[in-house]
Amino acid sequence: MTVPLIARIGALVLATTAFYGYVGQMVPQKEVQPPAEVVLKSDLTTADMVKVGREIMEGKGLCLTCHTIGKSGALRFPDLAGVDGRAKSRVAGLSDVEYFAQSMYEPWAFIVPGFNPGMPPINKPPVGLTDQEILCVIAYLQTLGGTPTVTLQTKHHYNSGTTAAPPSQGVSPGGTQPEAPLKGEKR
Amino acid sequence: MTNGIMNGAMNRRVLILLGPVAGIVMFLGVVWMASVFVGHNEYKEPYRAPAATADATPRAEGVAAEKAAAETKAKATPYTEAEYRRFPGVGSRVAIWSVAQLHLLFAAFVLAVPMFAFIIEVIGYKTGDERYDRLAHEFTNLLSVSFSLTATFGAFLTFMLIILYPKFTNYLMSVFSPTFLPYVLLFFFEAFFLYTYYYGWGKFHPLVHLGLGLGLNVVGTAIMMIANAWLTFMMSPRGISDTGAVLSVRDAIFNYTWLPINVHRFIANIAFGGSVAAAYAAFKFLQAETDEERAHYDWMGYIGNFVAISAFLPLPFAGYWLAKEIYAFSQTLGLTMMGGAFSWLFIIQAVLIGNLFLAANYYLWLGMGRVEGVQPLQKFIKYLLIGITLCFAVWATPRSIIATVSEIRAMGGSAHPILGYLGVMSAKNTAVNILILTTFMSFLLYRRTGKVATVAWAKIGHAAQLAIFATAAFIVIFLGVYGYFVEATVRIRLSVPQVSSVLMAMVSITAIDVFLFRGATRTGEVRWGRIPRISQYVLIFIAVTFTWLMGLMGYVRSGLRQHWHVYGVVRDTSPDAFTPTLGFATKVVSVTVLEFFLLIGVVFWIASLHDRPDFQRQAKTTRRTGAHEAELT
Repeated sequence: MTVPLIARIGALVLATTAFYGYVGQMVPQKEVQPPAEVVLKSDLTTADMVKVGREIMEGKGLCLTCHTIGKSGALRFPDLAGVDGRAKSRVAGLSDVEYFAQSMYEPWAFIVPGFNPGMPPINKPPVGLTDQEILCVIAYLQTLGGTPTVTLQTKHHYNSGTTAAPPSQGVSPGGTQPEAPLKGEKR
Repeated sequence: MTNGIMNGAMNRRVLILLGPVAGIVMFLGVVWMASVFVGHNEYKEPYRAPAATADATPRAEGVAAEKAAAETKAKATPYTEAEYRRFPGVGSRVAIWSVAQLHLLFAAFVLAVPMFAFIIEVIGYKTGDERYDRLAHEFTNLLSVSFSLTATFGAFLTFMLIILYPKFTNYLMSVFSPTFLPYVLLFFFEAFFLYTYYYGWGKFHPLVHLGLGLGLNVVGTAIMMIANAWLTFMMSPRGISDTGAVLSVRDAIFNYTWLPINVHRFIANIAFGGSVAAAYAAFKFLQAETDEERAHYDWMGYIGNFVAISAFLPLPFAGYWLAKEIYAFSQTLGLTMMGGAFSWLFIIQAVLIGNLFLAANYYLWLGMGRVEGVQPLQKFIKYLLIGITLCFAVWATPRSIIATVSEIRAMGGSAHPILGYLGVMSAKNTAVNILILTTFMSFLLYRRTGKVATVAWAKIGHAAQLAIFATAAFIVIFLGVYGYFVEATVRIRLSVPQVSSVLMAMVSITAIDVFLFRGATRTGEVRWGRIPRISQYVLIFIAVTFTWLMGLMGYVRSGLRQHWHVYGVVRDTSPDAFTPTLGFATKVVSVTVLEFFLLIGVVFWIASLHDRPDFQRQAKTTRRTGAHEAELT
């Protein structure tokens, strides 16, 4: 029995699409939910903030999409292991809390030598962390090489704190102090 | 004989009945669809007995009072703009996804076919070979029905956007309002150029006709570029404030990914259009009854595939540029694409592209059989096959492997201790560049099949070509290995010299080849049509793979925004805001590809009506006379 041409071609089209569909089922399946809006309790302890900060870094903050913790070699972004120890002395005049805050609110103000700028302001979309959430992230970062000290009441330059404006002495790729880019401008 | 006549009469009756039946089915389908939509949105009052016949009881009075209160409340309802509406059954996202993909596939085809039809017509005009002119005309046969389908799906998509995503559509329209009227105007121009180009074939001076073809291509490309501005803005918005207010429409158009998407789509459309046109030729080849027809459609399939693969070779370079601009706009977006939720999608892409390379090379190798005196070159095929298979394997190697906890412990991490090194970009860039070089070599072998160079510098020419090829391969492999020992910032830049050396090799080897084989002696003629039938199924396989690949890459471009309609500006708050699994996405892509091929089958069928002989009433009369004679006997 001869199979009609149209049936043969139909079978080929069907088999090819089915094969690629099957390949699609063979790779890891992960459904990514949009980050949930969570209201933080005002009475969180520093220990609670550390836990929340870790969750934010893995989820809504997208921090660990780029940064690593405890990796070495040819990295695209700075590794965060022991970062609190470095943060205390990274920029003269800035405490670790002020330095972490600057890294998140104005990431282009200081670029770690050897790396390219690429981090977006974390308090704005698409990440859009709140001031409280950023404090929780700082609490967690302090545990990496230090002891967490922040509370939800901690003030810094970017949440109407009384601390003086951080000095701008970062290293920019061009050797000059970069300005904050407009949305969609080259960074 | 009487049975045969009765069957014929029955068939005619069935055919006559088929029209009205199809019409009634379609009408019922439209009524059903309208009732589904209206039924989901319209309030239906429950049935109540007419007031005149109802008893005046306290209950009836209560019901009347309730009704009056409901009416008063309904009248006082303030107007609120709907943010989302739900599509019945599959949901809004899948509905929009499917319609947009079908629109884009037909649009790609309608944009691509005039490009190579125009080029083939130019070749025909310059060489005076009428076969090229006929071929170009045959390609454009497929255009008019496809153009109508593109426009229909475009209108369908627009209505679906307005109905299902009104708030977001309104925002996009407010940003790009100055672009819509030019878009419509260009669409009119495209219709004018397309129909005059098609129906005016042979009716104008060739140069006037070529001018119409050029106009069609320019207008088509401009339409694509406007539409690209809208969709690239969604991925890499620019020219707006933090809250989304428009600051500069020009900047919104010239956003980060607009230019690379224009280039990428332009090239991909040609590759896709070429492959679908080749599939049409394959279909006609398999249907052909004479050697002459087979020869013609074999040639047509070869040209279509040549166009497709020629455009496909530089496509990865345009892809690199697009990826680079995505990273430049947002490192987060870039890393989500290559290292986050979508990283496994590129393994599926590798399977598709590997299959495309394998199939394209296989078709070329089968095609060598058309030419007498092919044996001296056939010995190289096995080496090319080994090269392609190895590169395919490297490209499809994932960085991290799906494994159980014990297996991960045994490996010392999610990456395999040896194979893990092949899963990084250094290895993959090297593999794809070598794949391109290998396929280019297949083309070159095919090109010189049955020819012997006669120029005085033939030996030097061959040696120079070999040296250029070897140098390019060495640069690609060396930089690939070097990439493992340097910082990421340096490694990213290594892809540029890799790509440049491959491009340079292809251009310079082709240039030498043109002069080398000028006035070459022919050792055998090309016998068009003398190719195994399986080669035609390979062409159809290539077309399906290209289509599926376009569907997949369309998904990653759009899905990359995750829970944003406009990345970082307009958030998706609909129930479909989550990013589905790759398994689900590939199912949607597969179904859409099947729908496309069902529709393109209709396009092929309608286009083939053009070649059918005209219906002649005389034939009917003859049949009747025959039937009468049969009854008498």
